Amino acid sequence: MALLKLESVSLTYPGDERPAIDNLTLRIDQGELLAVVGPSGCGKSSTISLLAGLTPATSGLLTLHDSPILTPGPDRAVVFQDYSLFPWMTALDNIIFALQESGRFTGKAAIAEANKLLDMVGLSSYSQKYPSELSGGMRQRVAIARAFALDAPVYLMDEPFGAVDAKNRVTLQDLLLKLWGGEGNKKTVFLVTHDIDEALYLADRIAVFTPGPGRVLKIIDVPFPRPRRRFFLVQDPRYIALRNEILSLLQKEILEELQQVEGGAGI
Amino acid sequence: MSPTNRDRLLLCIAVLLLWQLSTAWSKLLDPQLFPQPLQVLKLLAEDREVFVKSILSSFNLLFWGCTLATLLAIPLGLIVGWNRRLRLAIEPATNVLGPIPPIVYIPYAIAILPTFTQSSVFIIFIGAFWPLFMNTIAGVEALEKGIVDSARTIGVSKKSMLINILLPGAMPHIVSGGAISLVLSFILLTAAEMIGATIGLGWYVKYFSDFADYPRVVAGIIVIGAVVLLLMTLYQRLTSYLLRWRK
Repeated sequence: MALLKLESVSLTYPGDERPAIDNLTLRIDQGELLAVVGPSGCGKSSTISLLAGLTPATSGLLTLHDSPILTPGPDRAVVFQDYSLFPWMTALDNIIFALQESGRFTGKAAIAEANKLLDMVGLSSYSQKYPSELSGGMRQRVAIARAFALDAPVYLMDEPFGAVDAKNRVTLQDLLLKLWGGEGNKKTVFLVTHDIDEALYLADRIAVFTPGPGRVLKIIDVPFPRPRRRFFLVQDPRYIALRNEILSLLQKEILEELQQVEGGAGI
Repeated sequence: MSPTNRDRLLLCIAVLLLWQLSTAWSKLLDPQLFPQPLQVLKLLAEDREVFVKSILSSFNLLFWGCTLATLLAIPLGLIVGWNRRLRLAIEPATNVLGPIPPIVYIPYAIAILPTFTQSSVFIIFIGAFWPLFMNTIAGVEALEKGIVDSARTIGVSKKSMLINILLPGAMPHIVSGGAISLVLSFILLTAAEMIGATIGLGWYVKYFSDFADYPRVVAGIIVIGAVVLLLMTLYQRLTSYLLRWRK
C-alpha cells in the first residue's frame, strides 16, 4: 500500500518562470527504500522540501497515510545535505535537543539515548565537540543520528552521504540499512543521491528524475535480494546492466539538454 | 612578557614621559590648563572616596538602563525578526525613531520624569535599546534557512524556536549590537550626569570644570577612561563565552 503519495505535483518558486517540479506523480510504499537519482537542478531537493512540508506545492497533492502534507511533522525526519546541525549545540546536545523536542525522551533518559545514538554512528568520543570542530563527514553522521533520534516512520534524506569519505560512506550506508530494517517495523525512506552505486546497493526502487522542470523519467525496480553484498553485487551482470541503463538515461538527458542549448544559441 | 605587551608598556611609558616633559620639566604648557602627572596622581588618591561613590552611582544608572534595554530589545527583536509581517509594518517607525540621537531626549526626559535617576535610566535605556533591537532583527534575518528548516522538521514549539534556535542563532549579531549599546549608554550616562546630577563620573568632571579646577577634570577623565576599559574588557569576555561555539 502506498504510504507517501505525490499526485500531479508542481512547484514554481516565487519569482521563477520555469517550474522546479512539473506534474510529478510518485508513490512510495510502506517500508520501501526509494532512491532518487538525477542531474543537478532536477528538483530532487525540492521534492524533499515538499515532502518535509517546508515548501507548499504550487499545485497537486502530497499525502502521507492519505492525509495531506501541509507542514513539517514528527512523522517525517529529514537529513539535509548540509548545515543542518545547530552550531551552538555540541554533538550530544544536538541529539538531546531533538529527543526532547519530539517529546520522546526527557532528562537523563534523553542523555542516555543520545549517547547510544552517537555511539551507533561511531562518534561517542566527540560528544562534547561543537559542529565547527567536526569534519564534514562527522557532522553528517551526527545529523543522521539526530534524525534517527526522532524515530519517525518516514525518513527524507537529501544526499546524506555526499560529504562523507568513501570508507565512512560504506559504514553509514550499512548503518542506514540496519536502522531502516531494524526493530520490526520497517521505516520508509526517500533517499536522494547522485551516486548510482549507492542507489543500487540501498534501494528497492530507483526513480530517475529529469531536469528542468523536474519529472520522473523512469522507475527502475532493483531485483537483488537482501541482505546484499557489495562484493557480489558489482559482479552481477544484472547490476552492470542496470547501472548502464541509469547512466545512459542520465546522459541522454544531459546530451539533449546540451543540444537544445546549442541549437538555441544558433551554433 | 609577550612582544605585544612589551610594545604596549613602552608606548605607555613614552606617553607618560612626554606628558611629564611638556608640563613639569619644560613648562611648555600652561600649568593652569595642563596639570602635571604627579599632581593628577595625588588627586586620584585624595578624591578616591568621591570617585568610588561616583562610580557606584554611575553603575547603578548604567545597570538599570542596560538591563531594561536588554530585557525588552532582545525578545522584541526576536519576535519582530521572526514575523515578516510585523517587521514590514514597523519598519517605517524604526526608520524614523532609530536614527534620532538619544542625547536630544535628555532635557525632555528631565522635564517629564520626576527624578534625575528615572530620567537618566530612561535616556540610557533609549540609547541602548535601538542598536540591540535592530541587531537582533538583523541576526534573525541572517540566520541560515537550513538551520530554521531543520528546527522545523524536528518539530520545535514556538517558544523553543525563539529561545533555543533564534536567540543563539542571532547571538553573533546581538553581541555586536550590545557593544554599540554599551558605548552609547556610557556616553549618554556621562552626558546626563553633566546636565542634572549631584554625583557620578560625568558630574565630577563638569562640577570641577565649572570651578576651573582642571587637574581634577583630567583626573576625572582618566577614571572614566579606566572604567570604560574595564567594562569593555568584561564585555569581551562575555562575548567570547556566548560565542564559544564559533571557531
